[in-house]
Amino acid sequence: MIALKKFSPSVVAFFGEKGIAADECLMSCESDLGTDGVSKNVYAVITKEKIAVAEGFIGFEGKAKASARTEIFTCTAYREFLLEKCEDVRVELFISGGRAVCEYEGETAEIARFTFSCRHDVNILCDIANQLKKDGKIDEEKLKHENEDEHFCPKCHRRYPDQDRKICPKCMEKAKLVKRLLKMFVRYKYYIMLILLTFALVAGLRVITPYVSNKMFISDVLTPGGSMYGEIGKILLMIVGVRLISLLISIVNGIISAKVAADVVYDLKKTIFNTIGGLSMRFFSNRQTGGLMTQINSDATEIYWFFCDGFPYLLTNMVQLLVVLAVMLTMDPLLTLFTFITIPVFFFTFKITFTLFEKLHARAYSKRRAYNSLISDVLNGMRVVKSFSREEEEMGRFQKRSKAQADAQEKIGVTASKTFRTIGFIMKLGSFVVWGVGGWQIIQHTGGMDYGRLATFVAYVAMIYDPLDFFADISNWWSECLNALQRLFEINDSIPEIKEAENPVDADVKGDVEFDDVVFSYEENRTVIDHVSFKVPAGSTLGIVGHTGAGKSTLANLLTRLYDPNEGSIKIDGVNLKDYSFDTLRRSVAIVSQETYLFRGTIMENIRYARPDATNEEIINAAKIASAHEFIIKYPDAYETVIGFGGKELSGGEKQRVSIARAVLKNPAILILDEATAAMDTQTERSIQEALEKLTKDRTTIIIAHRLSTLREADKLIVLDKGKMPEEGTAQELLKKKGKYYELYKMQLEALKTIGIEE
Amino acid sequence: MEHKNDFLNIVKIEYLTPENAKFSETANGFPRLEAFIPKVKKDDLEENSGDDTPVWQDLGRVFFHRAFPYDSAENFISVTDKEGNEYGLIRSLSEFDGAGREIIERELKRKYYTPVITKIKSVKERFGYSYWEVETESGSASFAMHDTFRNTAKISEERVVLTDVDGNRYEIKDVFALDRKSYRKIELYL
Repeated sequence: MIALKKFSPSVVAFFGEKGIAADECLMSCESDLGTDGVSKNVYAVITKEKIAVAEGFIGFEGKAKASARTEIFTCTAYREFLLEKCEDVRVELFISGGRAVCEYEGETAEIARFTFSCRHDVNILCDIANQLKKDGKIDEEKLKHENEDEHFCPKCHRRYPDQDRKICPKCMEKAKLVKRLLKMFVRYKYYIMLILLTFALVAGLRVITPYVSNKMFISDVLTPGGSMYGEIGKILLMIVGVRLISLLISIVNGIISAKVAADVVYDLKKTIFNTIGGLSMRFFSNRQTGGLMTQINSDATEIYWFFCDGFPYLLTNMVQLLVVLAVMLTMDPLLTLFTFITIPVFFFTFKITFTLFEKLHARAYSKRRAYNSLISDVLNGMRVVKSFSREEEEMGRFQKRSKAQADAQEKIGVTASKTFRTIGFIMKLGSFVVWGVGGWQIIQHTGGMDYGRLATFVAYVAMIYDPLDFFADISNWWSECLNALQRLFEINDSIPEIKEAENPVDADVKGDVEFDDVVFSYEENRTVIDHVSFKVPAGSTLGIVGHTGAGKSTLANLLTRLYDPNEGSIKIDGVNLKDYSFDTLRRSVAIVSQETYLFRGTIMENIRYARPDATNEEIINAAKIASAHEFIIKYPDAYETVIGFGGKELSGGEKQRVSIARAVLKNPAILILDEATAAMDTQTERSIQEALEKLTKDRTTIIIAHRLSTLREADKLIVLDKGKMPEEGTAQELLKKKGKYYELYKMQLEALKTIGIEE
Repeated sequence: MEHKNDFLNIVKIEYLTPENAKFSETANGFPRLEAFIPKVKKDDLEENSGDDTPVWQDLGRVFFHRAFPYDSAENFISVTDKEGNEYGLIRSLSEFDGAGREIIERELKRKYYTPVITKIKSVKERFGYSYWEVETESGSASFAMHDTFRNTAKISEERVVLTDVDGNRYEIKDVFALDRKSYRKIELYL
């Protein structure tokens, strides 16, 4: 039994009344929307014979105490579908949800409605119903991980926002995060001990300073009868000495902590970049890669600053606060108490100010973001802006956002000057209390107070207030840092969807390719490849034709194992693609795709990328095959022309030829040309094709193309249409069949006729 | 300067009007269309006869899709088959009345079902996700959003659509009409 949702007793009882016992159910799931469009509890079960759906509400009866209440399920609608009469159980999507439907007795019937929160579960319902119809049983093994327990946070029973990663942001343990970070620090434990030691020293010295410069100076040196009366030179030496030592220690401390923190951040970045390299394509297509990089960098910096700046400051301040308190209490407990009167007021004012500022900053940030995105948008699209003469409107938009940004910034400035002055005043109030009480004590000669002591005390009061503003802020800083840390570990923990087999096969492949009943979708409910099977014997050439979006490039993605198929298998030389080592795969399959990407660097480096040990002669050969030599040699720096930023920009066709040369150099057993010649003019394509024909001879080649003329030499063609494969055969066979291929052929022929070319 | 719009005659938009389209319901309550249009090819392989004379035909179940779902929800509604191939456009819903209009409106309401937020009770940010507790026109709801700023679509100055982690949409018709407390909670993402 697959329980996507374990039903509560009242629901089980309800189905029991309808004659469906709990042990008959093969699967159970829940949806959240009634067929009337109202939010409801919808329960669905599948038995061997039927699908049953009950809609209604869960209510409670009885005492207010939760334990004594009885749950009641009020059914508003109930329907059953006999499996033998159901055909094609499927999901139809709306904008923010959808419905499961089937063909029932020749008419489309609605099984259940859902919002996207239940989309996955309803999909499985459809899958299982279809499986049951087809095979008479469910593949429980495959669906085991779909059970309810796997999808919910065990602590708060919320669904994990990202099903691939079982992390509940609500219950994520901070302690664990910090522990992991600390582990990275372990390597530096001696440094860290040194840092802590210097911290303690700095804090201690800072506390001594007012004692020497106030208490000793006034009470012992300036007061007649003091233990060091008149020895001003000596006391000055002492004051300067204390300052000097503390300065030295601070410098040492700063150097060490900067080093350790920087190294840890470097470690962190290194592990993350290592993981990124191993991640599957899906990870990158789900996120914006550029944003990802900035995120990593800024997050790592955030952590760096916290540990280099915030954390040391926190430690020193804590030590300082404790020592100062201890000293103050021993000097004068009563006066210390008076100092504390203003502390809560002070602390809370700070707390409030910081939340206020956080909001202001967040707003300024979002305004700045809007402003920046507009600028980059307009600059990138300048050609369009100018050609439609929309400069004025864009200026207007720019001014509006710029103004909004300036306003937000101004607000921060104004609020800052208002609040910080006030806070400064409150701080002063605290010391006024000490001045007052201490002064009164001196005049009354109570509590053994004198000028030196009072001055020392006032200095200490300031030292208490000093860390407080920092404490008010550090909690925010800390949560920011944890946030950044979490994001970094999140990337670090991403499990690649495409994993290498445990005992991967390493082999020199011949190049027999077989697709066996392959089904694939990038996203649930949008099948891109729908039960496609074909074979390409080693050494032969297969052409794939079809309209844009028919799934041609997806076949290439599957064969290079950027993605794994949802159903069916892909085999090379009779061995499943999943069993090969990555190394074998990358070595044996090369792809030249429609989106060519050249790295920044010279043309030579770009071609050599396929095989770093290739000789210059091999590079020229490869370039010749790809018809790239001719244009490369015309550049002043020939093969060492720098491409990209600040260098030479290649045209689309030139880029394609360089990337073909790259693939040629790799000399793979299986070559995929995915619209590789699409951006070239017909003449270049012709000349390249002659070379390619030599190349593809005795090599398994898969050519994906729009232009049927590109596929003249293919041994076999398959036609893709909306993910399905309606036809296969040689060009001649397909023409005779007068099907899809014939249609495409006729269309292109007509297009050629209109410009006076006949093939 | 007056723009010349003579390009409008180059292609003809096929409009479905009460004169050439009759909407009814299938046995199970799905919208169905009988239309007076050129013969629709049943499958792609059928030879194109080149005959464009309209005939009355039962097209079976049809689907609706708004061309301008926000800007002009009642106008330019595409009527398609289940593959998304268009039979024609409804220029304005107001051209239809009676049962036909009811059927179209009901189906559109189902398809574009989006709870409208009337009050934001709380928004909590935690580790890149934000948790929302809101009141909608159809009861209270709670949902989680990832990367909140990017998933808050600003349709116009005052109109906002939020997309949660599952892909569900929630709409705020006018952020400025929200009460002050609610507005403050969403202000940051605008």
